[in-house]
Amino acid sequence: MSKLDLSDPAIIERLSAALEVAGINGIEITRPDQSLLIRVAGSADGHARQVRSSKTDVGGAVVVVTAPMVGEFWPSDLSRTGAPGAFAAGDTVGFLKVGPILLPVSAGPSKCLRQHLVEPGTIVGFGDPIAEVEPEA
Amino acid sequence: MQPHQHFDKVLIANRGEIALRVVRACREMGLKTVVVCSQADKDAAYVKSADQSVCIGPPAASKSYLNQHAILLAARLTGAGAVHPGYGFLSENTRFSAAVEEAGLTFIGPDASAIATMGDKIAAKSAMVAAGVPCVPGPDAELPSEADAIRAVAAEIGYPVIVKAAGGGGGRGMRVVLTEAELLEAVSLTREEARKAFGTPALYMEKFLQHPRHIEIQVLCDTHGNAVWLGHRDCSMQRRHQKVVEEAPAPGISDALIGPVGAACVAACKQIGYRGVGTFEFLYEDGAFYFIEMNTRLQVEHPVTEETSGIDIVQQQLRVAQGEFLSMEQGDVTCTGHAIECRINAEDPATFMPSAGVITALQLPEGEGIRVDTHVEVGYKVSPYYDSLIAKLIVTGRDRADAMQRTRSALAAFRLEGIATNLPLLRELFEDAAFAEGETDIHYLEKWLKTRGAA
Repeated sequence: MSKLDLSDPAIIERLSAALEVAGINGIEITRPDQSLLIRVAGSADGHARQVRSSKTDVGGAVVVVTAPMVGEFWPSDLSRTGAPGAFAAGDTVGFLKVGPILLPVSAGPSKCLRQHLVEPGTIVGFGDPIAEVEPEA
Repeated sequence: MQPHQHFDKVLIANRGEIALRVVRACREMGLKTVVVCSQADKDAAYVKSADQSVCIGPPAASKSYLNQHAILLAARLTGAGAVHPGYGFLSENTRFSAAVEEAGLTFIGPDASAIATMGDKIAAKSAMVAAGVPCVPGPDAELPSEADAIRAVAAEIGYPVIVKAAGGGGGRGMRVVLTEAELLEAVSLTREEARKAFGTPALYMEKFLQHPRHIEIQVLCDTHGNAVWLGHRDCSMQRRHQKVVEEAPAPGISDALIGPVGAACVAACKQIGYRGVGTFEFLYEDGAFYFIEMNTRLQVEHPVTEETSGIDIVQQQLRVAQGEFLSMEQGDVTCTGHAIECRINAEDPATFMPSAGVITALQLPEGEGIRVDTHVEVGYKVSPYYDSLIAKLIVTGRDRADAMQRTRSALAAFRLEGIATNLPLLRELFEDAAFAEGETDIHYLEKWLKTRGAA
């Protein structure tokens, strides 16, 4: 049996839908090469999903975080947008907004944000660079 | 039927020359465009020519151009009101057509039920028989499983027969049977292939025509019950069921002969409530037409019909999807002159192996009656991931002889360097006397290739 690609938007969408239907709050899948965390919670303007999907990256150097899927990019903390040396909030560099759903984009192991590479509200596609991060000093 | 919806932005769920062709039609109509692309196509100029572009996945088509979720997500994000599927990929996918409409968008093509009916060869044949469209001799029903019953069907049709997968197409899932001794094994093998390739073991059987030509009729239908046919094409010049050269009109076929067939196609469209553009494909032998299948999408070769009819088929598709009435009646459709399309493929002209790489020089032919539909330019990287079609040369003349001569000149002037293409093969083919004479059958090109030792 082939392994699921946990960064595949279709897989994330199906898992999220299944969790909502089943009334389950979240799921975490961890493999040596990939991990996926989905949390579903009620919010004022509908359901919000938190999704963290990451692949193992190389430590040490500056890492470019790319969009795992199509979405409208919003930084995780607007007040620190693009501020060099800021820490990515809650391990995320920002969110991909798709309709009412916000999908957090993981910073991975490198948690120090160097800069965002796109303006807030930009529509980004699969693989588009979103931010540069580097390991904490 | 889907309620008509106004849209001012169209997402094009395809790539290459057809994506650019749809962009052009939209722009001429004042519609905004969104082109989705894979990472392999992301930097191509044609992608950037759209008002907006979104990368939806990695190079593999299964994760990008065939990824329905990603395409619908892109449509939602960009505010597109309609999806144009082009040809190939998801253009004849029932579930995609339905999903687009369930998402509240307009699918620029027929509805899911029409695609499903025409995608099932038995159901399609049955619908055509009911509408009076001539079909290949053979029952419009699934082949039985009992040996005696199978033999009886073949005996009634008369050998040679061809066994085909009901869910097949594009030349796959079929087997010719010359004698009764080969019959049961052929049925068994084809049934197994059909089960694996198309998800259904259903087969049907027809008379095998030995020297047919491939003739097709273009139709255009609105959502108000109006339909017209836009003339006919000859696509007999094929290699391994892939068309190489197409022309309109089909040479040597009189209006009196094909007129009733075109009218029957229009009647069939009205009967099944078809909307948008479509193509009825026929085999033609000894003065008779035999329906083989209907393609429920825009065809690669649509430009030859555009050039002879003067009708922009892609714009008509968009207008029909907007709920407009057809702006013409059958009497308004007049085809003049002769148009020929050559498919320029990135492939070795002798071995037909695909050729990937960077185009280092490009000079397109120009002049009266010459049209080139292409997305490539100098510096374009031909990807190994997709179909090898990189350009279509469409040449129109006063008559067939004039169009042939202009095509020879245009092919001679066509310069493309950096990768191998089939241009040398096309130049040689257009010097062939039998092709120049016209009315060659669907086996001609493969025989010609063997004669010159290239097949």
